[in-house]
Amino acid sequence: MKIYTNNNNTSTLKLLIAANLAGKKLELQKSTFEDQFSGPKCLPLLEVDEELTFFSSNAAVQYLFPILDLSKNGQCQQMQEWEATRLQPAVANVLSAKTVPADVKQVLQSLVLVLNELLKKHKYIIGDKLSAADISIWSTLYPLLYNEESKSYLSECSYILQWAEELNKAKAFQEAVKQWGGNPKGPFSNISALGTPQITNLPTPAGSPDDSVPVSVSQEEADLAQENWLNGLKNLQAPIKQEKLVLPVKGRKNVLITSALPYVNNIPHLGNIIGCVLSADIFARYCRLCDYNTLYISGTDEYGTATETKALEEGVTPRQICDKYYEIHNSVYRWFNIGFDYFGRTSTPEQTQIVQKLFLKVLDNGFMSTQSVEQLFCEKCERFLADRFVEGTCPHPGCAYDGARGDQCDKCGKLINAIELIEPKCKVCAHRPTVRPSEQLFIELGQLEPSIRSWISSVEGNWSGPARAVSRAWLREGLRARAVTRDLKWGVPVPLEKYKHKVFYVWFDAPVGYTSITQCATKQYEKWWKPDKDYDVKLYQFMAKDNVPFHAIMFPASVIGANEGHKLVDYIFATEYLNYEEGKFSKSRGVGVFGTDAQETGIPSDVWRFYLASIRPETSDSSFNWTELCTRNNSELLNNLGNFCHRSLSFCANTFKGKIPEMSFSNTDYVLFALVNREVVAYVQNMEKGRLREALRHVMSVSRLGNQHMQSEQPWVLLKGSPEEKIRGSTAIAVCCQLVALLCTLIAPYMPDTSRKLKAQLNLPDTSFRINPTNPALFQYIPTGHVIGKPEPLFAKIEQELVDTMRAKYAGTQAERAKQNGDVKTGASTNVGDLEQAIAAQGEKVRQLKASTKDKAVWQPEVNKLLELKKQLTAAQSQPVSDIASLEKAVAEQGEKVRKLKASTKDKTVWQPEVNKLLELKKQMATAQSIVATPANVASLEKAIAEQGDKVRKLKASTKDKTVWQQEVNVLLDLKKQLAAAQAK
Amino acid sequence: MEVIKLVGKYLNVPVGPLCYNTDKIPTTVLDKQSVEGFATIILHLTSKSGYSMSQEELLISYQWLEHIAMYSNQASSNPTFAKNFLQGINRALEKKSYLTGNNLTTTDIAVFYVVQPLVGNLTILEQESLLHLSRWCKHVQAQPKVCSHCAPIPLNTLNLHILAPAVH
Repeated sequence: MKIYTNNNNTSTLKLLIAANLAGKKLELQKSTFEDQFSGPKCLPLLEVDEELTFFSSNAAVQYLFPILDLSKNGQCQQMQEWEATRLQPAVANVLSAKTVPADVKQVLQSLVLVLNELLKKHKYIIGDKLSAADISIWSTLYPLLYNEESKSYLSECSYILQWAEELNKAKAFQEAVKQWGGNPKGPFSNISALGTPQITNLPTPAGSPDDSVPVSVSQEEADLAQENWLNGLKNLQAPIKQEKLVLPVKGRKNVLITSALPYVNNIPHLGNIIGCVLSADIFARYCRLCDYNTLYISGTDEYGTATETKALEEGVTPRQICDKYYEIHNSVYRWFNIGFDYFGRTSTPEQTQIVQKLFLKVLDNGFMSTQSVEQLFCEKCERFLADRFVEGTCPHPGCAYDGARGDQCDKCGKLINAIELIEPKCKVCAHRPTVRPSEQLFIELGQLEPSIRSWISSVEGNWSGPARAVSRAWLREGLRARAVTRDLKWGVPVPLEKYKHKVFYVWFDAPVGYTSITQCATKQYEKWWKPDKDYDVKLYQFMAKDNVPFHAIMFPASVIGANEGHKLVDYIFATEYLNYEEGKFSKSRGVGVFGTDAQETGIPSDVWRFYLASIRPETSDSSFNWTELCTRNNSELLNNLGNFCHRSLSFCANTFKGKIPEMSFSNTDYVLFALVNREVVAYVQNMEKGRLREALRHVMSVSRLGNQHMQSEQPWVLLKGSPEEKIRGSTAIAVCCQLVALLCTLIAPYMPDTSRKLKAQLNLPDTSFRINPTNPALFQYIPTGHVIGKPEPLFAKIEQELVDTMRAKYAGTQAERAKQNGDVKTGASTNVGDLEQAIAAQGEKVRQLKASTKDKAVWQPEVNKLLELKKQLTAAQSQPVSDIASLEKAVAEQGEKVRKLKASTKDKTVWQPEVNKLLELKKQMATAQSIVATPANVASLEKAIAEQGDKVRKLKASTKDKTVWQQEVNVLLDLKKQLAAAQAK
Repeated sequence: MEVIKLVGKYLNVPVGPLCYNTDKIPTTVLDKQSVEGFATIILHLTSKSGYSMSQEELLISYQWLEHIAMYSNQASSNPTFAKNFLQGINRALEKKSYLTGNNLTTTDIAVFYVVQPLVGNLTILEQESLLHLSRWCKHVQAQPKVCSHCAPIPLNTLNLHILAPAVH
């Protein structure tokens, strides 16, 4: 038998003791968790033979030392389990922690006391016989027993000490310790690669950092804080003049920010918003605080297959789709307070011009080639089909899903080459397409690879983790030629006679959008995009990681290939994905919370911005969670930030009539400033690297420091004390107000509305709230003697119930939600009455909406709904009511009406129209009856015959009266005749 | 705790007044004796159901149940931890049909109930990477009475079909 073990593992001691007691020979072998054993990575491992191994030391001890009969109600096991799940974790925690948290200490002490009680009653743990439990527990306690430092835990447990000493005298134990060769002082190795098990009755994992640990601030830091306080305002950079649309300025830092162009095919969801536009907006606002010369550009990406597909779906032209969704995007971003300098779109003449110019240049420089590509061609639609325009059966064995798209199968998730589809069908006309070669232009990325590599290696140090990871993965595989043209209609046309029916791939034209959108904003766009060497222009691009290849490799490749001095990106700040309550956000399937939904919740946009920034997926995927949104709002915004601001300003307003009192600082104040400055420095550092989520954390820390200061100084007590205490109290309040001003600055990028409110409450102009990026620190934001405005609460509480209703409301996909909401209204109700009612209600809604707002994007969808309903109504009315019963009723009613009319008047013109209607109805009824009378379906006929036959047989059996059953027999004969006719067909 | 109840239902043995004690350890009273701890309770229930195990089987059962008792809480609250935890079980099942050898025992059932939500949360690719575990799950959940209260984990992906075919 062999034992595999790591160093100084007390569990190994268990095995050695047991083996010695049983007189079995064991071989020790050093090992690590990485060695390949079957089973969990736990050590020690007892290998009996090839078939039988034990990774649990307790089970192994029982195996080696089965002296106590096991049938005794499993008491031995119970104690061993107690050892494994409770004693061992507690001991391991105590031994591994540098300073043992109080709660862990307590847990261990109570466990030891239980043990002591047991040993008080019996000589051994279970009764009067030595058992496996004794061995296990003794080994685990061994470090506590024989290490001077930790002996204190057992000092009061005389029975344990006595028991341990007794065991220690035994030869088997002494020898085992010798064989083990471990050191009771540690360090001890883990028993499993999974780590130490959690202590079950502790609410938080043991050893969490203690909040009360005092932080030390060096004298230099405090001095620096003082210097900054006194001179920080003077040292600020010269403010920048705010113009309508800025151009780069010589001798200043010029920042050009873009966010990935959102695709127009749907309403943006929260993941899209935080991934690009919101992140870029936060960053742009931060840059303006630092007086960088900032331009923030974005727009909608409108070309491509998805737009065409969507247009097909909604039965309009791609242009109409773009117009519709551009408006929606624009209004969503406006609601989220995204402060674009210009929000444009890619389907403009400027775009066409720049893309074509870029293309021709790359072509001239010899980086384009042609290749023939096999593609599916639909003869009926007379065009090549893009991958998403083809559907068919999945070619992967075992899947055979018949709704697979040309690029991917939704069922098995595997990628598909469109021409491999079994039974391909054109999505537009359901015609079977044929394979045809089509000549396409390719960009030779392979030739450009060396320049791309050298450029990336010079800049990627500035990029965010996901951006680096994705671009490296691409380069690792080597670059290959990539098609830039395709056979579509909606896009930028290729400016060559031979290719005039083709357009550029959206990946080629979309990144040009930034330039063309800038051109739409200003004629001098080249000052930003092709800057002179002596201008300091930095390009920052924000996106989710799926967009990285285009911004980091393909577009730079095109630009390098064109070689016209176009600006290359300096900073790519890409994010990972945001999930929705553990699922995925999906634009195309409509899962998650969308921009428009966020508006409807009634939660202010600042809270959304704050929450989204605080879960920004910077290093790994993160997920949106309603409950978390609620707790973040209540605990951080309301209780931390909001509480501090409101409390400080109210104090100032109530005790000093809003006038900022004189300050006289002591060293403790400068220590506070130094601590605050640490946070401000970290805030600026993180912001500059695009780590917005981290930066936000430091903002909250400033507010926390403020709250602590308020709590420890207790100005409300000081103000009632001696003159010196009064001065200290008023200083404390003034300091808190200055911190509020600092916070107002720091939160401005994240929560512009709240910051604006706070500025009004502080009664200071925008220009007072700035940051010095070269020397970030707290300085005197508010002059002494300044009178502040009226303090008001900044945030409101979000109730848990609201969150629960929201979660229920936004579960499932958009389509499902629409179905639930619209069951009554649109649920294919051909009933005229219902429709009329729905139209009335919808009309009222539209009128109200139009009255309340002028924003077309808000009421347009409702208007569309109304129009849709009206269309349905006309359809329903014109449709002949084919149901015979209702027709009969209608005929009867109409007949009655005609009779009455004829009775009341002799004027033919009055009743003639009604008579005509009656005749019309009768005709309808006749046709309807004839349809019913001749059900052409053979199967149903056969069934009817069988039933009728049954009926006839029963009737004949019950009575002999021919008149009774003759009629049924006739029906039967008739049916049989019909069947014959149907079958003959 | 739920797992113990489910195992009790599976074995058709009453679990007694099951509850957590002050230290959050599941506790119950069986045969007028207080029984404490996940592994111990399960083993008690098994012996009460009339199933007798060899000593070796008992010890292997114990070691698995102890392992579960030590780590299942962390596994259910931390997805990364769960993956490592499942990998350990996967490795063990590489050379064996069931945890305790070649026969299905209560231990498999108990471990299955613990593992079920964890496996269900994995993506298809992750499930495919834990091939042996997935195969074992398929076998266990195909047993009568195991999935009477809940739907079995859908493990019908292409690779699993090919690599770990048919349920017996």
